[in-house]
Amino acid sequence: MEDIQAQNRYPFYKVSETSVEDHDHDHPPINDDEAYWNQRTRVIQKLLEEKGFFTAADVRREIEREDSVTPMLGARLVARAWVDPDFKLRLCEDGKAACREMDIDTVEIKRLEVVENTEFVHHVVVCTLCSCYPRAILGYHPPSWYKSTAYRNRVVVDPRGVLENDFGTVIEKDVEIRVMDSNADTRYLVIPLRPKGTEGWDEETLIPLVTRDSMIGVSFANAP
Amino acid sequence: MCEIPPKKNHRQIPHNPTDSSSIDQSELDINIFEKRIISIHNLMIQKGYLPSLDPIRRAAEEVDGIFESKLFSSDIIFDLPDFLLDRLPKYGERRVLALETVLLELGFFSREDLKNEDENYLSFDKSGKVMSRIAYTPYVEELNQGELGYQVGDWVEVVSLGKKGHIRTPVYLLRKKGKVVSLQGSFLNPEDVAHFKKKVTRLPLYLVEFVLEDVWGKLCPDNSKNDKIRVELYEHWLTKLS
Repeated sequence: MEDIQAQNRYPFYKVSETSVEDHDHDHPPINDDEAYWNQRTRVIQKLLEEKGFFTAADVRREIEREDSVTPMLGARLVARAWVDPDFKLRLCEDGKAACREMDIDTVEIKRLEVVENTEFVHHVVVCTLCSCYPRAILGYHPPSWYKSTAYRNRVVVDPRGVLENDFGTVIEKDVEIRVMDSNADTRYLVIPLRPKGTEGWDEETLIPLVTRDSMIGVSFANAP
Repeated sequence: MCEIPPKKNHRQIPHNPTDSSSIDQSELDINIFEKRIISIHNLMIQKGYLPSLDPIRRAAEEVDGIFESKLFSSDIIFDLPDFLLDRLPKYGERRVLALETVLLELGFFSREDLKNEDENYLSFDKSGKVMSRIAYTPYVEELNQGELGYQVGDWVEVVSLGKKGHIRTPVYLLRKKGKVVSLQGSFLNPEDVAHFKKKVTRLPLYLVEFVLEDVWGKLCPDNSKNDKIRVELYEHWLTKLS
């Protein structure tokens, strides 16, 4: 792990009194903001380590674990659901149990609801209160736009406008849009419509068509 | 264990239905400090030291209130650098301040510890006493079997409770009418957990569907009048419509 302290010339408790001119410039330019937050975070970590709540290795392993979770896990679930109707039923009935079948650890997700887009209904997910997101399946860091005030304000009022104008996703007039405001204990994963022209494709070939955004519901799965 | 009542600088999450700002879709790299603070937070939950995300959400809303009111004399955040005085903290920064707040509240460390550590003097007590003192173990009031206030198909209205502190009901739904479409199970009331209440109630959670036109009235775009919003609501926020 890199030593953040080594590059920190601005301990946070006295940043406001430290002038940039006060030190010699024997290092490449650093971003003050980032150094400040690195230090403030490092102090929290160091204190908790010293008091025995976890070790530095625990933190490193947790960062690595979280980095290893990518939308690929969700894509595997969707591709399996596309080719196996029984699995799709189980996935929509109890998302966490179906994830266990695929050796996907949904850890902190209390309840996973998988919703299917069809020719009659299109789901799109938002969290208007914070940034609830199926992190254990799509990744621990939701896209910036998902966390943005603009997306959270607008998609519940004008979902068709947001999908069409911001994401280029046109939903037919006779298809109902369901905005899932993920504000409480359930996390939502969308099964996008299976693209036309993929009839007979096997699971492995379908996986690359399933994008992160299609599982949030702001886009369709990629066309073949 | 001490309950944290709603603070005067707490700000519930607002919703601006007339927001027309564009959605920036740049894919930004995540800073290492943001990865680190989220990992630290998750580790503390996994190891049972923190109950859930709810207290952090509540503390983050207090951070919002402090930065919006610019009441930096508050005892929550101290010694802010100049570059933070004229802007709101970003997502990961807000998480650092919120986690720090909650860990201070529970006694995982003190302000002195933070300052000493920052100066690299590791002079705190390593006796382990802290661990037993901070454990948050609320008394859970269980739901009686079969006591569900609402069933699938019931029409309900969202009550404006005027509740202070952290809430999980979006303000845009207050006084709106919708239909129960699913029973989601029962969960500890996050509004109690967020404030480290000594007694926490397990509550039924309902998925309620609202028609966009019913929610937004004249603000609803013509082509979305029949579209839906589905939101999970805890029982105490609902009242039945006959």
